[in-house]
Amino acid sequence: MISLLEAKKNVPLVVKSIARGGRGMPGMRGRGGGRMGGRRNWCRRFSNMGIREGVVIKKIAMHPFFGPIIVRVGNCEIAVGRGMASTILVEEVNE
Amino acid sequence: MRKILLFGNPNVGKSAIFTRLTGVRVIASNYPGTTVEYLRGKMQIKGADIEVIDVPGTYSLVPDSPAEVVAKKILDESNPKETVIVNVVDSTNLERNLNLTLQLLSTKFPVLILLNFWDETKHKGITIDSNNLSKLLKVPVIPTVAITGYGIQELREKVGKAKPSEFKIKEKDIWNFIGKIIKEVQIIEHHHHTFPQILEEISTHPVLGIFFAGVILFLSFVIIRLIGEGLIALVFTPIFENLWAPVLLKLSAFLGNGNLLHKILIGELIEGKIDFYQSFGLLSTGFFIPIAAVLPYIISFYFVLSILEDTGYLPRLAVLVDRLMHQIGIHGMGIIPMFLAFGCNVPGVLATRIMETRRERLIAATVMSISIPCMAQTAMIFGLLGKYGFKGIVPVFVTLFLVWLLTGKIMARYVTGESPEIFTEIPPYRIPHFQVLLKKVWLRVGWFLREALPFVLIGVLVVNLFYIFGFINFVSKTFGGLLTKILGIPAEAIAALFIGFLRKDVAIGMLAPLGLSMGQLITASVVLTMYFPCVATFVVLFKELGFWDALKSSAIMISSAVFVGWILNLIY
Repeated sequence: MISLLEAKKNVPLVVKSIARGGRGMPGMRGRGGGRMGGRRNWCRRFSNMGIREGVVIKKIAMHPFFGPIIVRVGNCEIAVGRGMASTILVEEVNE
Repeated sequence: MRKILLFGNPNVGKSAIFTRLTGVRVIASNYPGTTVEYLRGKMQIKGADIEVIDVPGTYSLVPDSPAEVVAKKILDESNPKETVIVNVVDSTNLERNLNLTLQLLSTKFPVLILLNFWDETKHKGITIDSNNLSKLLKVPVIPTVAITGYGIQELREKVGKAKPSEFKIKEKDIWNFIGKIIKEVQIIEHHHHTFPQILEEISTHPVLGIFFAGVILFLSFVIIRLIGEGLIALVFTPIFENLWAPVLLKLSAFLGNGNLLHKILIGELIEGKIDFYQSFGLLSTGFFIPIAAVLPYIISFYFVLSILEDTGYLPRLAVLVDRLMHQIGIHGMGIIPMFLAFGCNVPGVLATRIMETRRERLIAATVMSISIPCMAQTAMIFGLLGKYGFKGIVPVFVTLFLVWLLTGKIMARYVTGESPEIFTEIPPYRIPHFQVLLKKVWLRVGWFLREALPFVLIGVLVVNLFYIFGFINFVSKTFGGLLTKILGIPAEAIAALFIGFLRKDVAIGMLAPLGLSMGQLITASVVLTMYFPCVATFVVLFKELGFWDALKSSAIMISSAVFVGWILNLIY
């Protein structure tokens, strides 16, 4: 299980879980010093966008210099900041 | 049935459906106590007037953003016996959209489901069995294509007969159930990439995307300028010169030149004529500036912005600049107000509403009023410094960009509050619906006329009174000497700074006959851009940020303008 940050591009990835952010965990603080709200809150925001356990997603781009990550979920693309993306834990789908 | 609520995720074509149903009689209102706007209109079914509300786009009934809070409130305030919910669903994204659908079905309201973008499913190799979906959910399901009007007639016929669904589901079972539905009603086949999809990939590509953005932005500015200048030169100026000026001259003769009322209403006659840029009367310059100089640009900006919005380009641009924007404590979507401010700071400040927190709004509004010159100003800067070529113009814009970055960085360090990360859907490219586009432009222009115009007039009146009672002269004399020392520009140019409050491009124009050196012109241009927003922006700043934040914002502007002017003076 690896975070979406480390995952390979353009391969199907299955979402295993949404990690709990903690001290020292980049997910807890958004860039620019802000927080992202509680874990429950962002789990729900992820699932509203279709990112939840068991779903297959694809990382299609990762913008340089800590820029956002673009993920394809079903038929739509979503831009996710790296702090939030680091909490999405995935595994490559074995075909 | 008295009311129809249009519910759906963002970017599902709700507005196009709304326009199909309601036609032209539409009111945009702010939900009380919020800055979230929603649209209301009327449609007729069998002679009865029915109110239609375009509820702000929401992913779920558990709200996460101000817009979603409003959506929930609108639902809670409606009476299930008199209201029908029309749930607009993006049929190319059925699975995700069904989350909201199932939540809506669990309420007491009658629900009707529209499978919008039905035509796109064919291009994308998606087949949906709408009859089966209707059976499973126990409510009517209608495939629609909002742009062509396909399915709208069926909606009109069925909406009156909608009944509350007997459907019940627990929240934790929703995703499992959606999985089952999708298996039963949807087949996805592999399909080849279409041209829009190739464009989509290019425009969010970390490298190619930047070139693509350059082209799009350049084209946008060209079109904005073309429409704006065209409207000014061919429509608004002739109307003022040929129709309004004679009326004012008659009024001037009637009042008698030189008395107080004449000074306030008409201002000074320049060589016996009204000069709309220099007379400074309430009815002359006061009307001319917002209507003939600013409004044309507002129209053309909103037109181009709406195209960028409705095609789906803006979220892609936001992704590309996200990292840069985080330098100043706001995320990528902050590019939208910044982009607007290049046309006119007024809509720029208004657009900071899309930012989620107070901190982001304060930073965005301040930084933009300080360092982003509006289109009219840019034109004047080019006019003044153009003769020196790049070495005259580049320092101005490089300085302004550095100021943008530094002020933003400092504010990001010290302004308290939160700056969330970017988290946004990037919808596929779509061809805008022309009527929706025009309606949007019209609503925004109407907003400007209603909300900004009165304040501009008040501003002109105040500046006028200051002039008449010698206040501006007094300030000019008192601080002129000091500013001359710091900025190294002559005292006559200081007067331009005060005119700049009213209209910055006029002020920059006043520098032309003074015979300043290149260095002085660069300093004056930068200081004029930075030191204070024009009266219209100033008023809107107060309205949007509230008294204290606007005051802070102004203090930062004036001090940073003097500081940067001083540095430039040392360099040149």
